[in-house]
Amino acid sequence: MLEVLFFLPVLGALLLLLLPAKAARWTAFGVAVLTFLVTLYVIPAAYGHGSGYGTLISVPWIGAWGVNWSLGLDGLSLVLLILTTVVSAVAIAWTPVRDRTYYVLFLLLEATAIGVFLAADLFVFYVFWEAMIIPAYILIASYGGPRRQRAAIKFLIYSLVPSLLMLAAVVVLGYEAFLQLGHWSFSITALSHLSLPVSTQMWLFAAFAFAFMVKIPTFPFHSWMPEAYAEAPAPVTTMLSSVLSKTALYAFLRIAMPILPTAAQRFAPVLGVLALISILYGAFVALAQRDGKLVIGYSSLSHLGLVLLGIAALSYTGLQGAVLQMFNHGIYASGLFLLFGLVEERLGTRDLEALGGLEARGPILAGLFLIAVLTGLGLPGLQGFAGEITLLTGIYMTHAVWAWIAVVAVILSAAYFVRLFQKVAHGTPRALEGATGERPEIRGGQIALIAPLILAMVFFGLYPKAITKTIGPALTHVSQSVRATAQGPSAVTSEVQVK
Amino acid sequence: MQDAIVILLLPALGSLIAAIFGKSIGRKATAYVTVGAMGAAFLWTLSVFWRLLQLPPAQRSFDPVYWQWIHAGALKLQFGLLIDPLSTTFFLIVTFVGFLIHLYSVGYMHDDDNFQRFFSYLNLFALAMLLLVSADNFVFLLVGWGGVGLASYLLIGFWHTRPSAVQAARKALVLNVAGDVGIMLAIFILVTTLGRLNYAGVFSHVSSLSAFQVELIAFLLYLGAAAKSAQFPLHVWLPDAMEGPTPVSALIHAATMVTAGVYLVARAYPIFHAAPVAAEWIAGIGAFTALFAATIAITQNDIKRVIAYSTVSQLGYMFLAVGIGAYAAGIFHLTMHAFFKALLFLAAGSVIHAVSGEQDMRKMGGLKKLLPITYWTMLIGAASNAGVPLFAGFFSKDEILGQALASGHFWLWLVGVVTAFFTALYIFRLIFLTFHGKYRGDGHPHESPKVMTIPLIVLAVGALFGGYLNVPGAWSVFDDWLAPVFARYPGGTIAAASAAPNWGAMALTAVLVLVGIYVAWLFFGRGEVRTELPEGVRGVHKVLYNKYYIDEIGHAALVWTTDHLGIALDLFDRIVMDGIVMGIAALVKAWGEALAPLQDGFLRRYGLAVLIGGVAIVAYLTLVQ
Repeated sequence: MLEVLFFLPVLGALLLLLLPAKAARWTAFGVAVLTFLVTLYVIPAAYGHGSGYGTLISVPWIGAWGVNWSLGLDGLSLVLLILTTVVSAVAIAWTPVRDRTYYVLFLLLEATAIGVFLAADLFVFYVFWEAMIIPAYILIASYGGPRRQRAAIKFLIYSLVPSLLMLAAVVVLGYEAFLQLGHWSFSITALSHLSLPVSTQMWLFAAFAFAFMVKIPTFPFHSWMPEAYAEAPAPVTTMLSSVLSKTALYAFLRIAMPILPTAAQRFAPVLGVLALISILYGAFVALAQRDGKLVIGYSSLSHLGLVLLGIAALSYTGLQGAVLQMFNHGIYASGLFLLFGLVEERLGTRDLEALGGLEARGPILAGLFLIAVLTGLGLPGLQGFAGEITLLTGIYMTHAVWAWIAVVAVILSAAYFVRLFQKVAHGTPRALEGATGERPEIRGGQIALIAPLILAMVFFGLYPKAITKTIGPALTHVSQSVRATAQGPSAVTSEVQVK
Repeated sequence: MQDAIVILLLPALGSLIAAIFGKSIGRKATAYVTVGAMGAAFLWTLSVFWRLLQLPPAQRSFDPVYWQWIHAGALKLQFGLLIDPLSTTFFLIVTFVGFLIHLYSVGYMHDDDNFQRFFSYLNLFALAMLLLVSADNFVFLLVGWGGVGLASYLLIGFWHTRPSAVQAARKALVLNVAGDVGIMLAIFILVTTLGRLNYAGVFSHVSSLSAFQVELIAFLLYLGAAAKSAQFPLHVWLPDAMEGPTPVSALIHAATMVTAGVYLVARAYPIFHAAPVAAEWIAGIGAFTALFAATIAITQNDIKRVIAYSTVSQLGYMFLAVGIGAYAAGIFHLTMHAFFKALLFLAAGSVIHAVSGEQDMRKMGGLKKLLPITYWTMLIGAASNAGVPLFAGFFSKDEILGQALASGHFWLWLVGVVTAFFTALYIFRLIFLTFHGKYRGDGHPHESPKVMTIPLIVLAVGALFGGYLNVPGAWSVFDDWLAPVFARYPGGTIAAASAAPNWGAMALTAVLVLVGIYVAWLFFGRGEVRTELPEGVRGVHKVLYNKYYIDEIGHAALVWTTDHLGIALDLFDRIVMDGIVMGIAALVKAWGEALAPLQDGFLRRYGLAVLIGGVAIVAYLTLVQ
């Protein structure tokens, strides 16, 4: 069934080409929903015995290079697949676009992201990783705001440069497999059993980490983000922030850490410091934005910095918090970008100084936006809080100082998110009649679309165990692979604490 | 006791119904649903209370567990409630006073366009407050804690077209989140050191923590408590919170939410008992806050602000109590305060309602005859707040002062006594300015409708007779009821609690209170507003009137700095970070153009380049190994 997950949106994209343009939006939505349903259907397949993949399919692809078309599913990929398929379905139908190419590209973007999460072969992973850039690039370049060309080019260059380094790293790993196993192999499981010298691990890890940190993004590799987020249409920004950023964080857990455990340990302090800078830097810059979309954008820089910090803390609890928050951020960031996108659409501006008074004219939209904002600022009881506290607890266990610093961002989060909400919803209505001249209220169809996200914000706040128990076995595997190679007394104590 | 959660679910349901269906079912139905939810919650609380009373005191503690919240490595937690005399006391306060204030609001908010939204928020607040006081672990304490903060934010900013209300709401939320962070940090330490977060587990293992760890945890918890309960210097949000509708001030910013910090210290007493430095600090800051806020209250002209500073001051007394270990006395004063302070605010609301929204006492006066019910009930509230002998506040405040003295905290006691004088002065200044003399406004004041005056009368009964639960030298029904809570772990009571009442000290306080009232009468009793101040006190008055400039100092030190750091980093991001990347891009482009001749289309040359590169990589790898 796993390959269906990938092929369904691809076939859907092809189908769209045959249908009239009018039917594109809802056909695409139907395909996306179907993909989500298939994801639900494969849930039981994620649980196997032991800590490996619950399901692994592998078909020889490029025999000479040892490349297998191999897809695997475990709790970790499952959670992110559910996120991807839900967010894609909501985002794809969110705004009507009179161009079927938009929906074709959107489905291809979803398919490639699914591919990244399913790939059990490093080469397959790399192919999907690269393929993902193409629809994203065209979506920004063709459907974005006035400065879309520049934003798209920047996104493209930023994506391609580290990809080249990553390709080199992938090839070297395959060659190492050849040297050690006698045949080329890119199987992630096989690669994680290689014994690589520390110096090789270090530069391989650097190459991977560079590519991943650009995509998250993390300071100082984030300067493609403001323009791409601002210029892309809201549903595309949603995909960039909610899904594409997660492919990079996922790749740390799936590829960089299990395959290069020693380097992961050596690099952890560097990642940690860059993550800490991202957390604070993103929060302060978010505070100063006039463009509401960029407040959300920089909040993502800050919040995903915290996720990376949780990964860098190398504690099992930190990893749990990281994945939990990856899922949570995917949901609430989608809610924020989509709802704010609607505000922009109805009022014709994103300038916080020109907005205001939404509460009076569009109370339902304001109410839904408030729930998303509260989830984002980590209101206890909602989804964001559960992830935040798990992350920070995990970080505190191994690096108390990091947690003391990172916690400042919790206060700043409240400050910039409340400012965002108040500028949009409170005060005297200013730009009430926007370009469309209609009442700035959300319509029935869109309420139904956003409802699953809003419900998820509440549900996973009250029951985060639904996620943590799903990802548990896969993360035990990751943390064991890192710790197995650990040397020195510090690693031993961290193991004791984790248990 | 599994059914105790119903008490929380009732307002949760009320809030949801009012939010989603409020517009379609109309105002009247919304009022019935939400007020009814509070009434039903009160009745259910009575049932829980009754069932606890049937049991021997030592068995009055239940910990029903509902579901496992999380299991992520070291962080594992079940959601459960702790039903014991302490949480039940809060249940009774929140649902009973809450019910009265809901009822009053039906009259007060009658003409508001967003009537339904208001009641949805009020029920949401009740839910969060009930969760806060009944959660059996620190994480769900924080959930309730954040929830009341949210409700407070929403209700302060309820009239969201007023810039001052929006500003006040934001200030309250951000300061409260800063406090939440204290509790979060305490949680991290508890998980790392004890691996537990539920009260029973933490409190029975306090002894396995180092002295430093306990002090740190205590200070962090106190940070949360101080922010929520407006302790100096984190008090600045509370007076501004008066931008919200008056029933909100009564319920959230007087009777219940702001006392959550006192609850936290009392609930976590095994920690604070083991952290003497933090405890002394709490008591000291409490006493200071009491005096500090009382002096500001003397000079304010806005009727609600006087009561707001009075609340800050009274909270100081409560922290003084729990800081010295007099937990039951602190909770007793908290309970009495819930009655008389809710009464004062609701009466103030009745006054404001009568004079069409005017809050400046200089434009009131002479309302005694026009608003008789409001006058007499407010007078009872004021007497109770001032601690006039035989009123509720007298018994509860004196219990705190008595225990401070008996436990050897002479200076704290002295500050408390001096504050009592100022308390009588400011609250009777309010009474005289508002009700005595001649009416100075230009409206047509009228008494409020029954739906508003009945809650006043009920609360006045509490403010008048509540104190007789604990009569010095005779009986202590209230303290005995709480005793099993504070007997469960070491350190719940202090020896001073059982000491004989110090009649001399009590008489001194009582005399000072009466002198305070007399001074208030001398200056304001004839209903004249003094515009000309004597030369000597002008400077002092200016400092007090401007609240010691704490708002301005805090704004400059924190808000301005944060905002400008944000602006500076934003510029850095736009110019430097982007500039570097674009610079590199330009460089690469120039380089590319320079190397362009190499790209001449000869496949052999390309092949050669690839070959050289490949050899270089392989050579590197072989050599390195």
